[in-house]
Amino acid sequence: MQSAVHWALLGLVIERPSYGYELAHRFEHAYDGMLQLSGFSYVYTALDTLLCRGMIEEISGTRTGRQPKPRYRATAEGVRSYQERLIAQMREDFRRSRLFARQLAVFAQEPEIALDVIERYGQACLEEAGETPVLAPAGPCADPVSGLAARLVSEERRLAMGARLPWIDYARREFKALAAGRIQPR
Amino acid sequence: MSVLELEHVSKCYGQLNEHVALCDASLKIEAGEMVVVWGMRRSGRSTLLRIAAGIEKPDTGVVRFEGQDLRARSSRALGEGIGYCRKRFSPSEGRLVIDQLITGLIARGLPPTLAGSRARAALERAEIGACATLRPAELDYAEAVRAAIARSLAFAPKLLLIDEPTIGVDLLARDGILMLLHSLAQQGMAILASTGESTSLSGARALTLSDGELYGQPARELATVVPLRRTG
Amino acid sequence: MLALDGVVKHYRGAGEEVRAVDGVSLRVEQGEMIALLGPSGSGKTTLLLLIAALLQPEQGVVRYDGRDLSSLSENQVSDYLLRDVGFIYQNYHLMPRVSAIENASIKLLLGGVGMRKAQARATPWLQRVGLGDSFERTPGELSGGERQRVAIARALTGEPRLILADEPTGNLDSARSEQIVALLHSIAHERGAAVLIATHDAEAAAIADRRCTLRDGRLHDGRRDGELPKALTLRSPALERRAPNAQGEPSGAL
Repeated sequence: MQSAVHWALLGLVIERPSYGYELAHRFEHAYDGMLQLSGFSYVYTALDTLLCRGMIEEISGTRTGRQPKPRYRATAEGVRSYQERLIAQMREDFRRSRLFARQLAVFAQEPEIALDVIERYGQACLEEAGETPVLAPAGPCADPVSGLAARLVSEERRLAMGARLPWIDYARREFKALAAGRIQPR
Repeated sequence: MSVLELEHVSKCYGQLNEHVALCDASLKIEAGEMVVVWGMRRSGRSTLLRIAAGIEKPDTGVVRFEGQDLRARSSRALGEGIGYCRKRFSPSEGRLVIDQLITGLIARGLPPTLAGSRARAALERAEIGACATLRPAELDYAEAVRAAIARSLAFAPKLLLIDEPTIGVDLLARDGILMLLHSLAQQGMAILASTGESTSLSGARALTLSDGELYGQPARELATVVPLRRTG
Repeated sequence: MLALDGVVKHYRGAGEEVRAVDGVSLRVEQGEMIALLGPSGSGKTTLLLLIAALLQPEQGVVRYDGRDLSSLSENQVSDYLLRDVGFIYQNYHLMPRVSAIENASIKLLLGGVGMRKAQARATPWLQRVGLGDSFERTPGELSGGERQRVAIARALTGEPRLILADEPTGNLDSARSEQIVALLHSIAHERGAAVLIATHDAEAAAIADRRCTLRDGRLHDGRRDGELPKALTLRSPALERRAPNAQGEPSGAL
């Protein structure tokens, strides 16, 4: 199951068992700026896929009454698969970062171009970090779930940008040295 | 007129000027802006702050506060309007936190009762009114930073300079300090902070300092559509 | 005037406990100048800070004019520091944006004296340390030695009865050092102040009325001629922390 949207939906079900329409709403709010639903009805298609693969199940007794609104919860298999997926994604991120570094190195003979890329990258990181909201410390009545999510995301953003800045510093130095002709590319 | 303007400022140390702390740095900060300069260790960020505060003189270039060249100021008037947050509290300036603030005010000629009320107001503004009667050694990192800020606030500065406002501060307290700084900026103060972490960059215009060279938007108006090279 | 009995102060440094001051007893009378000798890290600064009530002892008592310093209220301690004590810190601790004369007047200003009067009283002290023409300079415009002298003038302004000096001549050349030590000595004798000077400098110590050596937190009394009395070398650890004898001589163990 490749689709990021499917996994994200499973995540929401794990967070809190819900019915379809509610999940669509929650999706917009939870993954704003990170993922997008192609349309409201897509949720139902995705839910069917998750059901087929045994990742979620219907909560019995919720499909009754004149307007059935079945609620779904994650299965043990679903939770386990979600965990594995998170870990796999992490490795994928690492791989992509390494790829970026390797791709930048193609400019060894034209360091000025690399420096230009580095400048934009650096500026983008600073802006990304700058856009990270400063969160008010959690008050006593704050919703623990959304508060936690907001803080984790915010912190990830800040620290990730912060981790990139020293690398940018380093890459800049390397290319400047090349530009100055002080060392030959090995 | 910008609150702070650095124009092509350079500074070197060492007998043969071999260590370049700042190289042709230019920067403008307006009232109500918070600017953060990120840099690795020995990038020159502390030097940048000290030069902006007038504590050190640049080798070349000009530093202007509210349009006036800092060189034109006498040494006593140098600090007026510029709040450089000192993080160290020495026993000679008082036993309790509030004494530390009062001492500085009295040394500048304020009568004691006025000094007392200003000191208390500054501590309240920095949200540590309750720490007034503690000893500086009893403050935790976050409170110590707030006390350093309060000490400068007592003089109602137009420009606040702080080196690494969130270093060593507990995770949960960091955002509180940033919020304090942002709220001061919202009230019209210009703020320049330096940092080696990423956590202080939120909500601010940020630049990076690398081997003495400043990268990023030197002034507020410039758009970022065009990729920018180093300032100056 | 000053009495220490069995004073102990520990620090926790790098996981292990350091006994900076380890059972020190001492009597200081007015008009006395005592040199506190000992290697760096021997606890001299800690001892001075304990006497100034900037630190609290873990065991033992520090009494000034018969009163236990740890029993004083916050206000009383502040008064003690402001009026009775003149502390010359090893790192000067001058206020950076403030002139020499303002730095020197600070204790009087904090004590409620008006700016003009405070500066008038601080002026002769700045002159006596040789800074008569540097009143308006800020620390940034002064050399290390000049800053140290401002710190000395600050401590002496207000005529405190107890002067605690932590390496006051570290940054001064030998001529100035002699001058400062002579100044401190004359204050002790002229004005009946008690002066405790922590120093490495054996020559500076030579002029003192008494010499004590602090080693590993323990105090060893010295006679005027600088020799350790023979009796002290024979004392066993079991006799440590004995109450001082009738003459008020400090006791200590080796």
